[in-house]
Amino acid sequence: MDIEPTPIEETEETVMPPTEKIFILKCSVCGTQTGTLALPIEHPVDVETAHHSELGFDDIRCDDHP
Amino acid sequence: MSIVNGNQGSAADFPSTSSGAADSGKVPKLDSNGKLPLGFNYLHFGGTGADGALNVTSGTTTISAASAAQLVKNYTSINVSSGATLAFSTPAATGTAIFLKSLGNVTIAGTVTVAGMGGQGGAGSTGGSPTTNVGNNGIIPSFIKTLAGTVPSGASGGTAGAQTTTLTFSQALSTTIQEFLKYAFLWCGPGGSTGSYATSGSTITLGSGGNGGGCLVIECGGAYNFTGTISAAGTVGGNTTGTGGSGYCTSGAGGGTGGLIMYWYNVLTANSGTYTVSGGLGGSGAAAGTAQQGQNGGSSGGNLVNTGNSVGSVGNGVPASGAAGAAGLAFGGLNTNFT
Repeated sequence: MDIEPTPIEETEETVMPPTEKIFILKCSVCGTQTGTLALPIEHPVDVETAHHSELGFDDIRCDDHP
Repeated sequence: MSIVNGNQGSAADFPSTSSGAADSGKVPKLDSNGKLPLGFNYLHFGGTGADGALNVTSGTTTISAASAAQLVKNYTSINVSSGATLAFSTPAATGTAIFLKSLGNVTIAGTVTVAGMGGQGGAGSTGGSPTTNVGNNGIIPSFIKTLAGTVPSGASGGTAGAQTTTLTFSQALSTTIQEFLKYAFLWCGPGGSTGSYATSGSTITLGSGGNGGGCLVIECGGAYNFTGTISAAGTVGGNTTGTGGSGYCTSGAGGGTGGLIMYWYNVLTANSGTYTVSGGLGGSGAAAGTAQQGQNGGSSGGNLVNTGNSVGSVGNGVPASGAAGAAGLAFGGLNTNFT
C-alpha cells in the first residue's frame, strides 16, 4: 500500500505579546544612558515620555556629571 | 478601566499583577495552578516584581524616599555594575527603612548606599548666638527606637545617646505596618548633635550634626552575587567655625551613628563584598585667639549594638571635636524564614 505523505499545514507564526517595556535611565545633565528599568507591560507609566521622577528616581547622573 | 456593574468586562480588568492604584476596581486573575499570583502578595519573600528589573550600569542613580518612614521597591531583578552606584535621598527626619526586594537575582558589583538615611543630625546655624540642636532619634516601622545624644552646654559636654529603647505597641502600630509584620526589630542610626560655644560672638557658625546611617533590607528571591560595597554609614558631623566672645573656643558637631544592613537570599553565588556600617567622625571646633576655656563637642547617639559617644572635658584653649558616631550592624544569610 502506498503511503501518501502528510501535507504540511502552513500555520501563522505565533507572536507573543511583549511582557515588559524598557525605561532608559539617562543622566539628567547630558542624557547619557546609565542603565535601564524593565517595567511590566501593565505598568501605567509611558516609558517613552515619562520623567525619571515619575518612577521614584530623585536624580540620575553619569560618571562625567557626579 | 475597572469593572462596573452592567458593563462588559475586558481582559484588562483581570490583571495578573498589581500596578498599584491604577488597578483599583479590577479583579485578580488566578495563575495556572489556580492560585493568586505573587504579584498580589506584598509580603512574599522577594516582593512582587511590580517595579520591574533594575539595571544600573554606570554613574549614580538616586531613588527618593520622599520623606517616608518606609520605602519598598519590588524588582524582578537588581544589577548594579562595577563602578555604578545606587543611592537614596530625602529620608524622613527620623530615618527611613528601605526594602530592596527582588523576585530573581541580585547582583551588586558596584555600590549601594543608604549612608545618612537614618535620623537626621541637629541643624547647624550661624550668627552671634547660633542655636544648638540635638539630632533626631531613629524611628522607623519597628519596635526599636534609637536615641540621639544631647548638645553640649557651655563647658559641659553633651550626653551620649543610650543604646536603644523600644516604642510602645501603639506607637509601633502607628507607623506603616506592612513590613513591620515581617521585621519587628529594625532600626536606623540617630543623628549627631551640633557643637557649642561659650559666649556669643558674631562669627560663630555651628556645623550640623552628622546624619545617622539608614536601614536597608535586601530580599533576594534568586541568586545573591555581592562583590561590591553596601553602606549604611553615618555621615560626619559639621565643623564649627569662628570663636566665641572673649576668645572662647567652639566645638564641633557629633557624627551620625551607623545603621543596619540585613540581607537574605534563597541562593548564594558570592558574598565577598564589603558592608560598611561605620559611624561618622565628629566635626572640629575652632581655637580661640588666646588660651581660654575649651568647649566639649557634640555627642552621637546609640543603636541596638552600641551606645553613643561623647567627648570628655578638654583643657582651656583647646577646641573640641564632636564625638564620632558608633558603628552599626550588618548581617544576613540564607533565607529560611519566609516564603
